[in-house]
Amino acid sequence: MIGTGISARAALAVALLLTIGSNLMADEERRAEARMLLAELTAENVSPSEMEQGFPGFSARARDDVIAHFVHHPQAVTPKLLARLPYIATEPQRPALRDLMRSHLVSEDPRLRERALYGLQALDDPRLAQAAAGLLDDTDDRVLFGAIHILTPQLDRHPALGERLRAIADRVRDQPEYELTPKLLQSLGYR
Amino acid sequence: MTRLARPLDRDAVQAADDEIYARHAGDPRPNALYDADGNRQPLSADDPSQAGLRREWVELYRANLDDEDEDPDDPGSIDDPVQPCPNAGCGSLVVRVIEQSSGEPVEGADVRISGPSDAQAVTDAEGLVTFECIPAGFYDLEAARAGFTGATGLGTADVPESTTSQAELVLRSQAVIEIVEDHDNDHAVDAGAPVLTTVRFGLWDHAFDPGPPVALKNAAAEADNFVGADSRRFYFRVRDPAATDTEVEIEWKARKASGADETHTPATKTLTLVENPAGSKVFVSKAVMLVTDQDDLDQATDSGFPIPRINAGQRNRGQSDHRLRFAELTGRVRGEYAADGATIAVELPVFRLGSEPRRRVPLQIFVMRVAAGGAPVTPTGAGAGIWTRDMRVLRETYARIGMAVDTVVAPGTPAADIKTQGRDSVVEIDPPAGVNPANISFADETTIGTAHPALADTIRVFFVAGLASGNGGETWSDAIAPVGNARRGTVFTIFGTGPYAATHEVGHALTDKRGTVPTDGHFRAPAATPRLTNDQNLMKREFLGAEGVLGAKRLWDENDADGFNQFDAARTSHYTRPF
Repeated sequence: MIGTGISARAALAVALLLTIGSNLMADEERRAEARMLLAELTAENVSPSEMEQGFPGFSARARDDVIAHFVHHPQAVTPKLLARLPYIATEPQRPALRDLMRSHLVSEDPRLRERALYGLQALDDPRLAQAAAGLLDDTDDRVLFGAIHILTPQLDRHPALGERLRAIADRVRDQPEYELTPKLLQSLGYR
Repeated sequence: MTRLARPLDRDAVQAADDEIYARHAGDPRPNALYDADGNRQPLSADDPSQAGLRREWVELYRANLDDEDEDPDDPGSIDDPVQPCPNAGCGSLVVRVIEQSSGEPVEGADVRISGPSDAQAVTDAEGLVTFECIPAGFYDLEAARAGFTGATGLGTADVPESTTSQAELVLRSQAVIEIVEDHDNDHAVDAGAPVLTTVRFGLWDHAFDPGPPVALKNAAAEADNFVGADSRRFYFRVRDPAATDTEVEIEWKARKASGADETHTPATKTLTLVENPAGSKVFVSKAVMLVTDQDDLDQATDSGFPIPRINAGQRNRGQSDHRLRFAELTGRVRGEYAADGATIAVELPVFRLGSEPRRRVPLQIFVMRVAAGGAPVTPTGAGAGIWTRDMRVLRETYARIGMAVDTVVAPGTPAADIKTQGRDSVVEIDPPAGVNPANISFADETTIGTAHPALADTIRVFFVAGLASGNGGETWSDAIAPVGNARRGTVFTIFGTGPYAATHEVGHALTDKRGTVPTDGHFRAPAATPRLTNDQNLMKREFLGAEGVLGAKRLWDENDADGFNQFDAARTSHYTRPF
């Protein structure tokens, strides 16, 4: 009996240890997988096929962890990462991810502003047009190009927008730091 | 009586050569003027079957003689009063003696003619001798000179009355110049080294010390030198029984397909060859190598010679014993040795024969406009970067592995959309409705691929302003786009990503390396072969960086860490063609 009692306690202890160890191991595996996914998302080049499929080799939990991390640490986001996060977003995460994008519309880094705008577009943000309109005074060529491109379909319904674009055309014309925007405005008739 | 100015007018000779080769360029090959590969063959001086061609050449030569070329002090000028032969029934004969390998004149050759009369004379510095006012008729000709074999110095000439006939005799120098390889890779070339019939471009596959930082191996010892150890290096070898020193010098250069010297040919072309072994009269150079771009050409090379020799240590482009030459895939490499009496030469084609023939890679290149009818995302006008950078880098990179890059345009493409510079053409395209050229999505790529289908087995390259994926460029290689997928064989690239971006993406389509995360179709440096550095490989996964000798532009003919040979894969891709 004694023996049995000891065995029962030992068995319980071993079981407890195994459970704790298993949880620890699971946590470590989970973190390792998230780190691998993060390495992929920040790589210079990622297979378009992998990305289009949403990185099928990674678990939903790892994808959640990565997005959750950057939602809580938005300052750690890079332009590449911002462009790629929508590819791993699950439906419940989309609101938080939209907020993350919105927070970067006012970033000092123009590449982050550009990616944030396109990120909102990728996430079907209902306030995309407002976000784009807010960037019409941007001083970066690519950001401005993106904003105008998003707003162009609304030109017919919003005459004031035409006036804004004409003013932008005057502002960027013959300015060497603007390459794409003048070409786009010219093709829209703002010469 | 018409008399030719003497010596032969070089411009008229060149013009006659150009015209006769041009006239017969379309004749079935091989023929007397062209071999099967389209390389020019010299006219035989004595082959009876070529008599008609010889007459044609002489007529062209005469037609190309310019009065301004005549030397008024030359008694043979056609401006001078005709000097009739003292006897009726006479003509004149000009004989030119050249060296077989180089086509250069042989000075001091003893030329004898026998026929209606016999005569003998010695060639001048131009290899010419003239027999004036000899009885008209049929003559046997013979040339000889010490140090040359006379077997080919025989010929015949018909000298009609009141005309000047020409004949050319060929002597072969007993000295020999060859291009050889270090077949046993011991960095010591001698009389036993096999002769090459073609040369290839350096692969720079033993060039880099992995560091960090990565450094170019450029030491005096051949095994520690990026030229001396390259798998595509070659050597010049001279055998000259008449040589009296322990060293000889040659000149080496590359030529274009037209026969003209390469644009980048240096004024000083000297290369030193050292006798090996002593007393053998066999002289060999250090290893030399061909390159395809100016950054590589500008790299100094260690001559391998010790101080205090004047050519010791690092030799820069333009100096003697610089061991690199710029060449084109359609070009040739040539070495010339001034043997006693005449210059001899060896000339080999680049990547033309053997088990590694040249290949072609046709590309359909599209440049997207910012909006329908608008300007392109990157300029396509004369001198634009797409021509001077991207097309150049594409050509330079794939030439290294024997592949020529061509641009092709689908039939039916509106002429107004085709932009051309030189032999290259790109097509400007409108973005499909709703597509933002600065934020191309994967779905957009399907739309674009569908709107602009591929010619058979042809890679399509789309220049856009940005990709939604955040990639600097992306390619739908066969590995990830099955047959029937509209994106199969498409490359999407952004001009602003950098000089190697488009070439790298085309590399994905060509190599079609099937990989999974994290290799992902890219090159992975093999730990067992650290000299195959990741950062210098075109297919590295990381940022490709700026152009330069250490740039990410090499493709290697060895397995990477995944056991994948990118050289073989690219050259056997179904996107390539026979040259």
